[in-house]
Amino acid sequence: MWHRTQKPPPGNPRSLSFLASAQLRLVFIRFTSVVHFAESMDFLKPVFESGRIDFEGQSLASSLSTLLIACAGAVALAAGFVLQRLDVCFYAYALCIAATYAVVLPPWPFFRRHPLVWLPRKARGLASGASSSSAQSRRTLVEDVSDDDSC
Amino acid sequence: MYNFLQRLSAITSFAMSTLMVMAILISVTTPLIPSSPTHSLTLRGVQTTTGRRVDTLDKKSRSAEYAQLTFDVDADLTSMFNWNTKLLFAYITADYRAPGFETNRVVVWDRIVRNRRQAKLRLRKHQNKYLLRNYALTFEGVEAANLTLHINPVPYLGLMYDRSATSIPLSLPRAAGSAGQAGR
Repeated sequence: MWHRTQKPPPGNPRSLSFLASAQLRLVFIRFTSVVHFAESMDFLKPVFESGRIDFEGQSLASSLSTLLIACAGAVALAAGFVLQRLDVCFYAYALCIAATYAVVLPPWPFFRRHPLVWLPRKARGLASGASSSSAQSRRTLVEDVSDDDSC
Repeated sequence: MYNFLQRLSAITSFAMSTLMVMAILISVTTPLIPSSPTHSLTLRGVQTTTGRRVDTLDKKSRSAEYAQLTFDVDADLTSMFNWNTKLLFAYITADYRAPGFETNRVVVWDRIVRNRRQAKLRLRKHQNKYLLRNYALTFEGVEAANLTLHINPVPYLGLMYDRSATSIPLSLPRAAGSAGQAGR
């Protein structure tokens, strides 16, 4: 290996060792880069990034889930203690959590009662420079939101 | 909480925290559950011998004094089984005071009781499972000896605790002719 202060030996960009090092760098990036892994999981986006609800719905979902889980704990403890079986307690708890998932996870209509009201688009054909740049920036902003919901 | 994954993550983490609180509540309230077991321990006889070949590689063990106990146990431990009881550990110890050592405790018998069916103990003329031998290899100067039955409930969630059940006095005599004999 050559030291940093010395000039590197003249390398032919088409030599085998140069190609091997480039390939090695690519492999290294593929196996250690978090961004590469995250981008390769983009096919899961429609599954996990969906189910959007509006802000009122989010606060309702939060308080509803807290209440349901606390009740699940109390009911499971009571059922297990009355029957004097610990496995009944934890099975009942798991069942109640599954019911909470069914109530809060899907985007039910009652979570979408208060959709956001967006301002209308500015009419085109105004002063050219300002309107075209602002229209471009608005276009990029709107593109970020996924196109499955109306809220 | 704006999309499916966010809600899944938030609800699952709160559910796990609640599960932890439930486990803590169960483990803390278990010792408060009342139980009414009955036990009795009777000693039939003690016999001390010397000259037993218990370990061929330990020359001093040949001349040590070993006590053999014969005892009866009557116990009904059914009420100690609650929802948080995994098993009961019943054991008998011999406690005594020896010259130079204030507290000595030797476990001479134990049994694991796994369910209510095994909880009714009725033992007759049982011998000690483990050797009863003093640290000084002789019972000279041993006094205030007791034979005690303990019950340890082992819970699924929480700390173990010891319930000392019954205690009867015990005498540990010297072996016959041990003073004069050469250890053979």
